[in-house]
Amino acid sequence: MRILLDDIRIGLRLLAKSPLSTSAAVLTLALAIGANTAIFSVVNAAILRPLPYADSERLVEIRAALPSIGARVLPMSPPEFADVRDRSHVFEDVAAYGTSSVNLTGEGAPERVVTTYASASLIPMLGVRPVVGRSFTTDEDREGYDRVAVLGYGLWQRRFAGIPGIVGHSIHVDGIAYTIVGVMPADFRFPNRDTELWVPIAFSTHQYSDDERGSHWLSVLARLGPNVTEQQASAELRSIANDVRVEHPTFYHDDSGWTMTATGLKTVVVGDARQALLVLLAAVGLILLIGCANVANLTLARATERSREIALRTALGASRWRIIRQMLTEGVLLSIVGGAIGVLFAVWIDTLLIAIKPDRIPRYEELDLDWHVLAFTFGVSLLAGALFTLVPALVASRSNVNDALKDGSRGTSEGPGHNRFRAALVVSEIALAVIVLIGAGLLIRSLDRLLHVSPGFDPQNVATMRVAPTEASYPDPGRQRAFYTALLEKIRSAPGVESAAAVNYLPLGGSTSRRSFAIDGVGDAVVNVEFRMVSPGYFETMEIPIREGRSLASTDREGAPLVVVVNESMVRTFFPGADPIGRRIKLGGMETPYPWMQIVGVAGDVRHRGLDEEAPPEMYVSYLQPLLPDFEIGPMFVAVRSVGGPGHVAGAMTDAVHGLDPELPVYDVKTMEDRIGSSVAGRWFDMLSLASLAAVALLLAVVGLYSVLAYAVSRRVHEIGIRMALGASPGDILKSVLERGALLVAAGLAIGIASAAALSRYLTSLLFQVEPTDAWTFLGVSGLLAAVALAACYLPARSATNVDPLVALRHD
Amino acid sequence: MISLRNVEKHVERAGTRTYILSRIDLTVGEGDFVSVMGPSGAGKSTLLHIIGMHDAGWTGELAFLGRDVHTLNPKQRAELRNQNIGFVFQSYHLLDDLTVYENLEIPLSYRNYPKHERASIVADVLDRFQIVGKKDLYPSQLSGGQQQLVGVARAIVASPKVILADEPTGNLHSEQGREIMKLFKRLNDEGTTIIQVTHSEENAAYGNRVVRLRDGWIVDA
Repeated sequence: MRILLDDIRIGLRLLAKSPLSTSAAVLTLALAIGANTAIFSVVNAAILRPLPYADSERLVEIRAALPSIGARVLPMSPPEFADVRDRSHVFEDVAAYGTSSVNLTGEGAPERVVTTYASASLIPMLGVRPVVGRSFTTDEDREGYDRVAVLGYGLWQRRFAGIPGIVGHSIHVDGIAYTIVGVMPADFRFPNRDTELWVPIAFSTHQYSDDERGSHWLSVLARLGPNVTEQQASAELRSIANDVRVEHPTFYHDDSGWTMTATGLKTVVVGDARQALLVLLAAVGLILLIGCANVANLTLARATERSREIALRTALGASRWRIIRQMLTEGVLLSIVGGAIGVLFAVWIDTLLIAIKPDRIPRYEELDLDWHVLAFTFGVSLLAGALFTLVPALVASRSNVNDALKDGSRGTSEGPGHNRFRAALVVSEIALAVIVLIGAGLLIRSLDRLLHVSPGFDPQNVATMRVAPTEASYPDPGRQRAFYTALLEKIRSAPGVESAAAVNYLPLGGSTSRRSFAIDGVGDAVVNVEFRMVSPGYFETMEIPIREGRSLASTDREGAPLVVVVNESMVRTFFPGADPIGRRIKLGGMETPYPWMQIVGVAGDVRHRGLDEEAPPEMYVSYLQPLLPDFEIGPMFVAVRSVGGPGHVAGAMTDAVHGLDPELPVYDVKTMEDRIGSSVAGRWFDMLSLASLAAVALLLAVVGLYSVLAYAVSRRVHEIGIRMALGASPGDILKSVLERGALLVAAGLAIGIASAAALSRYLTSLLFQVEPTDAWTFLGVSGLLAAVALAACYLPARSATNVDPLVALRHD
Repeated sequence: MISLRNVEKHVERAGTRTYILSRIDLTVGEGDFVSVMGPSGAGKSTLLHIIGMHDAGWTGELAFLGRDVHTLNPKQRAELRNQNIGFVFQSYHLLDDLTVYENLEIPLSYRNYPKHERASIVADVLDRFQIVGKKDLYPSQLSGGQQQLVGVARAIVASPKVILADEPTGNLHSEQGREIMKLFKRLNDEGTTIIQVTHSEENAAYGNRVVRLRDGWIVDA
């Protein structure tokens, strides 16, 4: 212990003796370890840490899939939920829930609040107790008894100033009074971070009927029984699905492949961010290696400078292990100081991430540096310290005492082994940087491709908002229709408005509706295509082209023949090679009471779910034509194309709503261009994160290259002096240093490109229309790195040309 | 062949101007073998490097083979030097990472000799200096005398008219030193002008003229 303390004391003194190189090493390590700590803290919060629910590893989401239309994840319908709940034996409990937004009125200004309709068993299943009151009971999860609500902590604080006696108060949800029975804790976020209100789902008898079998809007959560695995649960679910298919052939085609599986809730929460986060973790790992290589170079240079001191120590009796241990102690000291600063850096990054609320990171609210993260950082610091010190220590401790002491009188010398090691380090750094750069390059190219994808409409100058006339104020669909018609007329008359239209689910609006349908003459219904209700003028306002037939007109109203417009994808899927115009389709199966509708037009495909997802089969009906007498319209988006830009009409849109109904909240006000921006925000985040890390990698690698060459030049002053004395021109010297740099860069590039070609396939799920071995990306990155690296070589090369042979030769 | 008129060099130290060379007037004729002698710090090496056009920080006039060096720019000086001067250093200054052959080839490559011509010249020099058997050895594998032999061979490989030697035997024992001086004498007899800096009267005796310096002044020429 005493020897260790001595080593530490001497180590600190030696580090303090060369403040410049110590600072450079500490900064490099702080950057590399800090980046690792920050990304690991994200991975820890999002992936590693258990979900904040009791026995969370036993929570699974039950998901349906319909392979025949390529739907890997499909919501469930109430009867399907009942099938699982009543027939399964592997689950301790099963709960259904669905999320939408509601108008909250009563105390305070009307506001739109994200609300989850849930089975009574949901909150107890999660094992989270309300901080005030209780959650709702099974008795309350019945139609007619369900007017109770549980508030989110934020809503309680915001709207009710956190009053303690909140239980028993009333709130108006879409105009209907609900009694508050409890408040959830501040950190309770289920099923998403936006939900602020939970009410019973209270399915009606009709909702459980087979008529609603095709109405897919539910999520289903279940708790696995003790010792039941996900695989066992999925096996039982597949068996139930097979039975259900057999029992209801009208709804589930034999060849549709409809099935159900159980997926761990954490897997669902993490989603596709897992791959992106693991890629980032790998990238920071590479940065750490680059940083270690840089510091190893510095350490080797210091060891060379200290060769006389080390030789003296050896001559005085120090064993080789003692020398190595002294150097390892210094290295670990450096990396621990770097790690400590890195932790501060990571705190800053985490704070920044929490502030910018990146939706791409699941559970970002839970970001913190817990003991797992700190242990990781400590481990990484120790590893880094050992990594960058070991080889220099081994090399330095092996030097010949006699030679070192003899050479020491003239300065210092180092053998070809040192140079080879330095070269190997810098080649590795460049290779590692190439891998990270190519990863970032591929994401940049993907994003570029994505941003050039046409969404199927013209988003320029289109402002949108959402309004939701409540059932209480607008109890029948006729009044809802009248409201929307009046609203659109009012908006169209506002200055600057070119056209206005309404749609229940806007492209890139974040939600959608799927309905099953039947084709006249074909027979049984085919389940699940996208279903939209629109106002006349919708295609014109959005500038969605009509490829065949006609658009929906204002004459297509109640009493006129029922018409429908389908998209090109629907024609390709269900009417291949045939003319769809004039054909008849209807919602639900052949036996449902929905009327037949005639296809009058084919609209261009629109990427509703995201620019990176092909348009699904889709049908559009006019909201002016009720398909059934009580056919609900529900909330609709209003899209307005303006002359002078969307900003000019936003006020007029809100005024128009409040002119008709001052109680009605207007929400989700955005331009279509903003919606496109939001839809690619995740990819932007991935790209910017990896590009930032690539910039750090490039910087460290180039600094490494520069320092190796600069050091080499400083060691070669004498030799360069001789060469100049023998007739070398500055150009010759410049060329010789550049050649050496170019050789290192070329070797690094070659190894990096080969490694990236092997590794980039792990990025496939993050790419869009770009191959993992995209030649242009590889070429571009190689060019960029070569240019930057050669610029870094130029500086020491240039300084080499300034060597004064007279001074160099005076070393005699 | 070489003429220095009123050449001076000084440095500023702590606000004081210190002259390293003062009012140097010297003429060296073609075929001369001049030994520059004097105590340490007399300015011998500085004078050598001014003549060798490595040192540019001086005043006065230097004519070399009829050209006024003081009027030439650095590039022209380098050209003139490369075509006409070979250097021999006290510490040999062979390039450690290059073989004997490659060390001899270096001055030729800097003078843009084609590869085949370089090979022929180097082979000739190796033969002339009887070091063919050592052509693939590295400097560290040679004795001091052998290294200086290579150093001299390298100095003459590009057939310079003048050899400037800065204490060429300083690091050699007497027998090796004598061999090198004999070699210089032979080269001088063959027509090469030689200016050497030396402390040794014995070495100076191989030449035909001695220039003595003291405190930057020529005291005897």
